[in-house]
Amino acid sequence: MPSLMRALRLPQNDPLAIIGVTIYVVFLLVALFADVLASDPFEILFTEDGNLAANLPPSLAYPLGTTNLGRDIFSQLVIGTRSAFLVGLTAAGAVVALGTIVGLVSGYFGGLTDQILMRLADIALGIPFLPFVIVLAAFLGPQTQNVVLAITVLLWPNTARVIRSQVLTLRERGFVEAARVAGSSDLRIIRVHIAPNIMPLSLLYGSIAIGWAILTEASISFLGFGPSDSISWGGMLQDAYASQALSRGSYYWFIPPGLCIVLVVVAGFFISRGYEEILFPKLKD
Amino acid sequence: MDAYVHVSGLSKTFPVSRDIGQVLRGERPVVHAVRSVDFSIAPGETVGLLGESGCGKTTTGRLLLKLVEPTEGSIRIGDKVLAGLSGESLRGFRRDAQFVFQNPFDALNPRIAIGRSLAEPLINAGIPREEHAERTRVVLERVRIRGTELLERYPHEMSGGQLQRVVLARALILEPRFIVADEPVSMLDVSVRAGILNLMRELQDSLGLTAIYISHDLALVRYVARRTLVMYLGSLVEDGPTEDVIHEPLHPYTKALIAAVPLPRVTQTRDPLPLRPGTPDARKVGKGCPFVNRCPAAMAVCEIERPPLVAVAAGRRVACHLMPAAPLRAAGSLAPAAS
Amino acid sequence: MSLLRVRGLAIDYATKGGTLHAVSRGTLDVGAAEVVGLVGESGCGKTTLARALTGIVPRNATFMGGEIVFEGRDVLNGPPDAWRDLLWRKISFVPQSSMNALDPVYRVGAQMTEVLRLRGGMGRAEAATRSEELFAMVGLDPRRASEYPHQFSGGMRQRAAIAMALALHPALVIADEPVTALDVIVQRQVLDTLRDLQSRLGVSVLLVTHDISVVAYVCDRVVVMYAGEVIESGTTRAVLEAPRHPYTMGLTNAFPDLERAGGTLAPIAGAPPDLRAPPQGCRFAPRCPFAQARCRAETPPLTIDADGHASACWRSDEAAALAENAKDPSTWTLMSTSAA
Repeated sequence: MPSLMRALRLPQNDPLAIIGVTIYVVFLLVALFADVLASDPFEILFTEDGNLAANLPPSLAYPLGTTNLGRDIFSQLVIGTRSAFLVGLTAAGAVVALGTIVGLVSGYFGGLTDQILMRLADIALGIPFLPFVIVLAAFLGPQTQNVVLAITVLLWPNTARVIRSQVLTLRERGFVEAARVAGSSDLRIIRVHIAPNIMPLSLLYGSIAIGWAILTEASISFLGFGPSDSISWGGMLQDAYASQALSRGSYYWFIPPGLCIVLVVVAGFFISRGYEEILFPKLKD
Repeated sequence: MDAYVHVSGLSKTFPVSRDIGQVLRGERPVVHAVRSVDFSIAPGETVGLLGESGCGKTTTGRLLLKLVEPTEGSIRIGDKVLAGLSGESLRGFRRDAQFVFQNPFDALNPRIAIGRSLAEPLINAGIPREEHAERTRVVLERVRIRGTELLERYPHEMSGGQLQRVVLARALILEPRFIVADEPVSMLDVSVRAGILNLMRELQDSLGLTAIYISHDLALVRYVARRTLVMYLGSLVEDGPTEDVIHEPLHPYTKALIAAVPLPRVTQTRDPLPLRPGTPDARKVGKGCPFVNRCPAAMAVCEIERPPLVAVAAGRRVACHLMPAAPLRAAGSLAPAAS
Repeated sequence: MSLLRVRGLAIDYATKGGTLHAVSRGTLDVGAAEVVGLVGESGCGKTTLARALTGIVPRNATFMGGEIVFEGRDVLNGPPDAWRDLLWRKISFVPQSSMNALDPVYRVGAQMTEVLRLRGGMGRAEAATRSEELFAMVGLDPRRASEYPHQFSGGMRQRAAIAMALALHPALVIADEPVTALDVIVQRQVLDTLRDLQSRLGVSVLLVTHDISVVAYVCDRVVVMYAGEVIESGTTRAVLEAPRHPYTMGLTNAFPDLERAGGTLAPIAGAPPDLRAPPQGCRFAPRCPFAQARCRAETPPLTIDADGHASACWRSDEAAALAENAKDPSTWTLMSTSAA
């Protein structure tokens, strides 16, 4: 864990950051070994007497019971980890990459480039979330990559704005001017002197974005606009809701996916708190 | 001898914040950081650029290294006219002209080890990698840093004095011919200051550098520069050999400035300064002399006409209506550098 | 009897890298109506010491011992309320950056009257009159009292801070680098105002500065600190003209004098010690060209002679010869080859 914390540039004495990283590591392991831990989540199960194994409460065979269609909830939960991380990590990666590049270019070069990019950011911030997702799903189809696209389009401006303001400060620092006097090109100054100094900030926004992306993906799936060919936590919640698991008191169906979403999102925020302490050490008091 | 640095009619304005009335009227008020400045520096000469904060001395230094673009006027350094430089020619200029920064704690990237920071100019100039070690060794010797273990260290692990030596080494590593040093010791403690100043003196002599030493402290300027230019609110008000400027200042501002410097000794004059009450404000400089509101000898003409910087004696120029131009020299001509 | 007497003051800071002994042997006196300069380089503990006299120290600081006697009462070891009660009324403070003393969102005059009303118990009208008086006293136009701090120049803000410090007729004003951020001319004008008010009002001033020229210009006496310890003190004339401690000798050599032509400045080689692990013996010994075996083993005590000139150096009886020797820059350069 210490070396992982160092690789992520997190403070190793921050208990919340350690908890956050631990949660991520556990879920990542689950996602990686999902095939070993779970059986086919789409398989329709039957009891020994040949009846559909629907709405079974938790048992040794089915640790979290079964759905109304006779599918193993535990397996769905385990396999759902994959899509959560797939969407969470790719969307967060895309958000941070786009936001960081736009922030760097906008802040460093300023002028017209800055104006255009920041007005684009304003427009993206003004897009209403749900209608946009629904329209996008309707036009491009409810596939995972479209969910990632929607999240990226909606979330990049926050990162870009913060990175930009940080770059504006860094640009005035003596060592940036010193690099210019030393003959460094703009590209080199950005790459060597500015980008490494904003990395913790990018990672902060990345760790927040993972949580947001997973939450967003869950919402999209819950509303029924998510990909229908894969299992996700949001989709599980939607199935549970649609089949009135709530009124039947099948807590084992909707609490576990809900809890997983909360855990992953909270872990993201714990890690981002760790970055905040690096960036703004005064928060420690 | 031909001047190495030649500056003529140099001006730089910056926009200032507007009030609502100015926005509505579409006005774009500016402040003159540097106002029609002319001077030349002979090869190998070190000139002090003296003035208070906000007088435009740092902007002048940045203009000379093309870190900002002038609003008007031209700068020639060596055989290069700065306005025309870009791409490869600008890169060539950066090899010849270097800047020594005021704040050594900020001039080096905190995340990069000293050795890599020192190598940056070499990489940019395309010096073959196998020469880097030798060049670094030579330059560290020049700035009196012993041992190479320091190359592995990071800026926060070093003292201010050591850092400023590294900053100096980085400026010298490409063997430039021209250096602008902006208050290089103002952030340093007194006991280490003298070491950097001595080093700068030695380097000027041994490397034959042409240099501008920017400072608010006349005693420090005197220590490194034989000639001094005095700036006040963007204008050059006096130019002459440093010792003459100190012992016989001609411009009323220079007189007040010198009278104000406290001495490190008990016996010193504590007479009131030869000044009228008033505050320097670059935004309120009108068409007259910039010093008119504080000058004890201001006349009617000073309010309406800016005095030109004219030669009044060999190697001495002053911008003051009280000082008649030397009869044999045409008004406004550039005085030859006294070196 | 002196107005303020500090003996053996020790202040530690709890830092990440361990306990930092910011002040170890803080010993100084400020007499009535006297201007005392407290000089030293950055990190020598002068600001910590000066601020400690107001009882205000950072959260990670602890008083480790010593006494602070103000008007005959030991405030450090007395009830904390009594000390707090002295602030503003008896002891006031002018910070280094007057930007810190003045709140940017309130008018300068309002901040002044607030001090007068809250700490001085004055009524609205009385406070307004006194505020005008104070503005005029420090050379500010009272009509500008209705302006905000950002509309003031640096010199004006510093004048306002001085006016606030003098608002309640304190006996002692502690000024932390009050002119460091100012231009030469403004610095001189503020110093003249300070000196003039000091002699007119009979107030004592403890002036913290790194600049020997400022000390020479305004101070009656000077206290020199190095690495958390007071190493020399005496009248300004005695300390500057006949320094007893090699550090003071080095410091005076390192200052350029505008009226003295030519000459070479001599730096003091090396850097001040890490105060988390100060060296044994005299703390200046590693940088001292005159250090002997004893200096590296035993801490020299601060000894006072009949004239009140105190120094902490094992070789202070040879001071005159050493000072002569110290004037030669080569004395110091011999050392500088061994350290960066």
